Amino acid sequence: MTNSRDLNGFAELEPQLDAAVRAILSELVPDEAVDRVKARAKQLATPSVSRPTVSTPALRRWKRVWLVPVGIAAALLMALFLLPSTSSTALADIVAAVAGKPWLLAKGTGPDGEPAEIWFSAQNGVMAYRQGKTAIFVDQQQGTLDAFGGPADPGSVQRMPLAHTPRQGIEAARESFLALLSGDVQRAMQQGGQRVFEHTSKTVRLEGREWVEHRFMVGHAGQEGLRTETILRVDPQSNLPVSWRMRCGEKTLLDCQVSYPDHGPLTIAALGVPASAPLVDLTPRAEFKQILAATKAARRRFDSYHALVIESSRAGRREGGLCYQIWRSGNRWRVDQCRLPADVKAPEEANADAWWLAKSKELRSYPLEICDGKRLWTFSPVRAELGRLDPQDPQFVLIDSLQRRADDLLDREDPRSYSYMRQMPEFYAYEHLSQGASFGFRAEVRTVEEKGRPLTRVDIIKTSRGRPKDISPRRFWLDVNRSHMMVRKELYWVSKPDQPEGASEVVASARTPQGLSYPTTVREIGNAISLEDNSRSDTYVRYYLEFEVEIPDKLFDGEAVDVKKFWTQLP
Amino acid sequence: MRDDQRPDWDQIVEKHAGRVFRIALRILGSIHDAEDVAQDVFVEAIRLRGAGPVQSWAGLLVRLATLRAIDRVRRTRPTHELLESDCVCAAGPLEEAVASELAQWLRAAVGQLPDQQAVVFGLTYFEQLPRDEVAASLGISAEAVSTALYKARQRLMSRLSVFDEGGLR
Repeated sequence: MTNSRDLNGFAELEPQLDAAVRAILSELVPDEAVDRVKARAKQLATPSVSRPTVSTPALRRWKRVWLVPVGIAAALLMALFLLPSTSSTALADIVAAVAGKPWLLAKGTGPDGEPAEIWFSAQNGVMAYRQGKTAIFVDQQQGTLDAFGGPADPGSVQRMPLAHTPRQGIEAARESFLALLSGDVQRAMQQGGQRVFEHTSKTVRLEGREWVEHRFMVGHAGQEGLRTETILRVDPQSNLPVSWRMRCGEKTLLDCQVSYPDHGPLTIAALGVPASAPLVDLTPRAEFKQILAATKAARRRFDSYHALVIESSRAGRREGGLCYQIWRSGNRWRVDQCRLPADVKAPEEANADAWWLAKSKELRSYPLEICDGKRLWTFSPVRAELGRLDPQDPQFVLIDSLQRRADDLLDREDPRSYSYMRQMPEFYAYEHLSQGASFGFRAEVRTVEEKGRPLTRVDIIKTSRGRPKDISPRRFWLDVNRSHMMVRKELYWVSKPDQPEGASEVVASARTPQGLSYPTTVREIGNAISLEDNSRSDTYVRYYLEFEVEIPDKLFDGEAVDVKKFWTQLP
Repeated sequence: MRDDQRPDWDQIVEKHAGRVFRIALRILGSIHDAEDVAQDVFVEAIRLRGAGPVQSWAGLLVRLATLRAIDRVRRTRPTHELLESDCVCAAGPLEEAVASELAQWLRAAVGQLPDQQAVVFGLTYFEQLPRDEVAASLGISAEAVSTALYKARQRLMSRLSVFDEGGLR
């Protein structure tokens, strides 16, 4: 009997390939991750569990630390305010009663059973939360969120701009919250993406008197497992809530009594944060704010287009590679995967742009991502069976159907693609740069001159010694003369802030009919590595755009995609 | 206990979760993604369990883990996101950097192989399964494993720095 290594031919493996395999095998498999996999998989056998909540490496845990309190507060406010005005006049009375009080204080236990308190004042535009050593203070009037006890630097207060708090979960809560503080209920519903799915009320008798209990189910469409149940017990005389309980599944998030003091916290210091805690101010300075506004405007205003986008390791514009077809119209887009055979080349004598765009009409494609401005659908191909090739196109495997997933857009004002930021020219060119406002990071802006051209350089710099480690420092070069288009970016390891680990740059650009610049060729520098000599090579992303083209509305209806007959067909 | 006796789900998970996660991690290089893939694999497996008896849980889960991980590699490459916390290496800084680059290259390149070659390569070298076990897991002959492995290696070596030939994917 031969041992497995001989059977596997390890000894015969080419040296460079062998080194690469051994590099992968040298990576540790963390036991705690295996334990998490087991725990979640075991839950699947429980009939009441649809799909366990994905979590919880340390990285995700710290995000949740911030998500929970802000989400709780937003969910409360959603429950209080986000009902159609016609659904209940009694609720309108509750809203008015709470808004008439200077402060609402909910005091009891939080998600882990620890003492927690939430303060809310519509009059002051303040929401504050305290649990254990964690404190969060949101000041809508100043547009800031102060956090103490976070993993980025537990001993300091991190001040974030509300408008640029990253992470989708927080965005939903934040947008709802801000809109509510502004008194704009409709916008809160649109912005936050949350919905009240169910509302019931009943009269209960306790301690010799009657109360009205309102029950709300609040959450995002398509995420049933994450909906929260809120029960507010209301005094029918004053219309003021007196108790508040929230659960997500079997987990109690909050169990509080509600009171209405005359005074409340107007700074995070009033929540018990030590006076000696230094303030790390991560709010963007005026110049950076202006850049953020400019890039956001360019993303939103970008012309409607149809594009063929090709990734290739070859420098020539005539070579094919991974291929995408993209349509954009207003705030809607669709990204298709094209089946482009490997040997397709544009003829030498042809105009490459025109040739590829004409070629796009012949290519079979299926949707990967569709956004209609409100919802975003993602599609994953389900293969028929292992190794079976498509008889119609034997260079490719046979796809049996598409798997569809739909999510509400969390930020309709500034939507972004989930997976195709590199392929969509407006998203590549006009970076969100939002990491400049992340916990533990700050942005520095300066003017530099390169090749005789003035450029704006944005450095995203890590400011803390602790987590998060997953966000890499970045450096962006923007060209003010080309509508703030990003012309180069570099990425760094946290541990090697002076040595770029990856970079990409705009090799060629053009302007849309509206005058916005966009890349026609992007070079991703050194992202391919030769096993023979460890030398690096580049990947090129080429964008062939046409603007004067009819774009049918039906392309943006993700529900209309037949997952069995999924090949895109244009009228 | 034989696999076809519909064993208790917890036992199946306990027995195979480590391997499922390890396969996904080797192919993806990201703990987060590997956890997601492992979860998807078990969701898919429990559906299949409901549809009828499973002849070999080990084979089914190994196959699903490999295929789903390769699917994800294809969907996510190359992102330029530097997930430092995902890189769990035992070597020193210099070796780590070199190893990381090599590993990143190989993952991307394997993701570009045809399904069968990618799966066979992954199981053989990342999971270090003997040829017969790879064959049993995939329901193909041992000779087909050898052929796929040979082609995979040839393809990887011939392409080296070519990540995106745009063909089979």
